[in-house]
Amino acid sequence: MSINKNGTTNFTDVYYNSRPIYQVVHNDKSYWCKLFNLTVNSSGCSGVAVTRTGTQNPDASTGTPEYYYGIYRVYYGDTIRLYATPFSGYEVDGDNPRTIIITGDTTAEMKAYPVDVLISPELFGAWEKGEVQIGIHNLNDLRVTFSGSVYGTTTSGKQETTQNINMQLSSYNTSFFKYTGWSVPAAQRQSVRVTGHFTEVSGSRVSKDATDVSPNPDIETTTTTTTTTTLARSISLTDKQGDWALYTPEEEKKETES
Amino acid sequence: MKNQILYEFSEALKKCPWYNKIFEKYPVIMLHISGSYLYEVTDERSDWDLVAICDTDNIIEYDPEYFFTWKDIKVHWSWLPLKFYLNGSAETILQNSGLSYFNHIRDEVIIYKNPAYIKIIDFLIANKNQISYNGSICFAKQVKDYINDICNKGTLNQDQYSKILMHLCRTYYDLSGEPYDINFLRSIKRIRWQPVSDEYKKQAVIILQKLKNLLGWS
Repeated sequence: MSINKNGTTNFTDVYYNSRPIYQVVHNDKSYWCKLFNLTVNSSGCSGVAVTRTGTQNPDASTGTPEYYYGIYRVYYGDTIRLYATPFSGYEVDGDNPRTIIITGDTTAEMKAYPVDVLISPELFGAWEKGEVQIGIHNLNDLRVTFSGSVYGTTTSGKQETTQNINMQLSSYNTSFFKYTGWSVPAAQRQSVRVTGHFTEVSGSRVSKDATDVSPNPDIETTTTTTTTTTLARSISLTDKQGDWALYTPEEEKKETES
Repeated sequence: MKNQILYEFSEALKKCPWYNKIFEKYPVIMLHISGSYLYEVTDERSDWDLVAICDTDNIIEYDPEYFFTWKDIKVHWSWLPLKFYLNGSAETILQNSGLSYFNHIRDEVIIYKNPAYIKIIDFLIANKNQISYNGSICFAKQVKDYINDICNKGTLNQDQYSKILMHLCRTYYDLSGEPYDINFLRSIKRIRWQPVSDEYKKQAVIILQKLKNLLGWS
């Protein structure tokens, strides 16, 4: 095999005995490395810094590789460092930064996903104990304060009790926090609606969804005194035509929810 | 064979007096039946969930405040941006859970296709398994603490009774290719409201462990 290389010629492929080779080395010196494509999937990130920290291609330099239309031009054997900047409230899946060695066309997954707050008010014998437990599946170093209200809906369909909540979830791994102090007479208990919003406590990271989730009135729950499940949304029947009915929020709800 | 209830509902919805409400806020690419009727684990409590995939990135309100009922069963919908499907991830846990069973999309659950977006719709349907896979990964990651807590303890606490449990088990079935145990899924789906046998609770824990293994979290 012989290669004439004057420093300006770019070989795209080199074959030896009809077989493609990725690197040309002579006397322990590397003369050529095959060009490959590096694509970075970075959904959930505001950007990914791609840096060539090492190379065996004599014509390549360290730093940011050439970039054309979403594809980085890298060489066989390149050491590439990837460092993603996730959106606020997002977390990169896997190591960040991470280092990869190029051995072919490469797609690097530097995706970030929301560090989300799941707010799913659920009642567990709450009526009997005078408790409302609000399910909050928190991840990582979450600290939030919840400010809101619990609305008791009675069998007559009216909201007759409002309790204000202002609590801080201080335990990192608490799956649920509990509001106590409920006092609706058992015979009138029908459903509960929890509204409010979560606020980030300094030093923690909360998905931007945390506040968007509020109000979260679409709570299905039931009492412990009946198996009937009601939708705890404060809605009213607005129109009915045949098998179809339209329900819209009551004015009262609009006034009470911020 | 045509699923009669899906057909009946779809036809009725198109004649609903307020059908246009679904289309009035955002440009809808495709409207389809979602939820339990999509992944086919229904019971007498099942309501009708719809998803309108929209050509906008600026959805302020994913779920409308109002809803319909049809034959006294709730009918409600979400507006979801196309980018959720193309990016491979949504934002909230419930949205990612919804993506995770997009692999069940089929003609009989599609109520409306916008003719201007046929190529995109064909792309989504052709890539339904990948969309489902991506959504499954996102969904599982978002409730990783929940999964780990249950697996570490090897049992379910009462405060972990949630419909999420069913969705995680269903996700395992979808990812692994194992056939659904319908009776099991139907039972744990309502774990918040009705008793579930110890056998099914143990089965749920085992499936979460298998899900962890499948995801390489062990």
